[in-house]
Amino acid sequence: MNSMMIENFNFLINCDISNLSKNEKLSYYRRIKSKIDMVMNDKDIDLNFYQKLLILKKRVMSKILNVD
Amino acid sequence: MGREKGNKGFLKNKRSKKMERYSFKFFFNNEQREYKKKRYTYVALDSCILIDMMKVLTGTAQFKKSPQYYSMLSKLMKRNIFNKDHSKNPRGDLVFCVLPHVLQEISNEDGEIHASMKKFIEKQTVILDIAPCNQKNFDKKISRLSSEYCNKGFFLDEENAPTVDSLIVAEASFFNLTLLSRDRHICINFKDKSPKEKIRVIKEINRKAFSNNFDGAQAEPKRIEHFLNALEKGEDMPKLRNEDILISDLQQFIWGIDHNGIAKEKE
Repeated sequence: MNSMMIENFNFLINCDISNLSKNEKLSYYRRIKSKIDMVMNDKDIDLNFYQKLLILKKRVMSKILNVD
Repeated sequence: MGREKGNKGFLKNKRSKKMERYSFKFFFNNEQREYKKKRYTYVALDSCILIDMMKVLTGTAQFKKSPQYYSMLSKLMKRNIFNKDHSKNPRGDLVFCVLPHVLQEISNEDGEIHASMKKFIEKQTVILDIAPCNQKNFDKKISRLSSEYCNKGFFLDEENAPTVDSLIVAEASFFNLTLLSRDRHICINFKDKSPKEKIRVIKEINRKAFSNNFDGAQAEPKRIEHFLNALEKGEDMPKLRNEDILISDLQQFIWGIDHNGIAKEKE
């Protein structure tokens, strides 16, 4: 279940969205980030899974940083 | 030779030993010892290290997989000046700091720290909150610094785009804090072709950016083992700088730690 979720997030992050406008790109990555946040906010989350999600979140944050 | 022996004999004299405690030298040495006790080292933690610390606290750390790493981490945690209940650890000499971008990573959109980390972050670390009036200036400096790192080819992802790591390193440099990390991007790694060169360039950029000659020790990102080695050797550790841009409550709190050695309750 957890690995499936990681794979899905990975797929979403790696999707080619170069044809979208700047605002659309931003909202796309922000939506992924908020979904990762939702999963991370679980009190009883396994810390190894949390760490993997955090790495994904870092990647999304970098993507947001580089949207021009 | 005979004279020296005689002198040694005189120093061992009981009466002179008794009198020594009233001497300036004795008083001064003790004062110095007292001063040393109150000197704390501020270090910034990467988000991965924070999670690993949580693993040690919750007992979920895989000691068998990487025993050396986790034993070093628990050694480091024992030196934290805050206990679990935010009381002062008498044996502690390290203050763990959370940088603004690291806080962003472990918080949700509303700025709330994720539930699993909240207690640990609030009780055992110091969150470096920037005063709202200084935020804009701070952001400008950090983004300029991070873009300079990226121009030199550091902290880039597979597509050669800047990553958040560059911002985190820039923030740590701004506060002159040793950034502890196990990330390959951030700290010196043996696999790196020229790790020393990378650190040298980063330090050079920092010196230019802050127009400071760093007469004390200048901070650099480090792995835990290197940091612990430096601590044990008694190397000069970088001191916290630019704390005047933090919110005033936090400035008072840090002042309290440094001068009284007592961490007052955060409001």
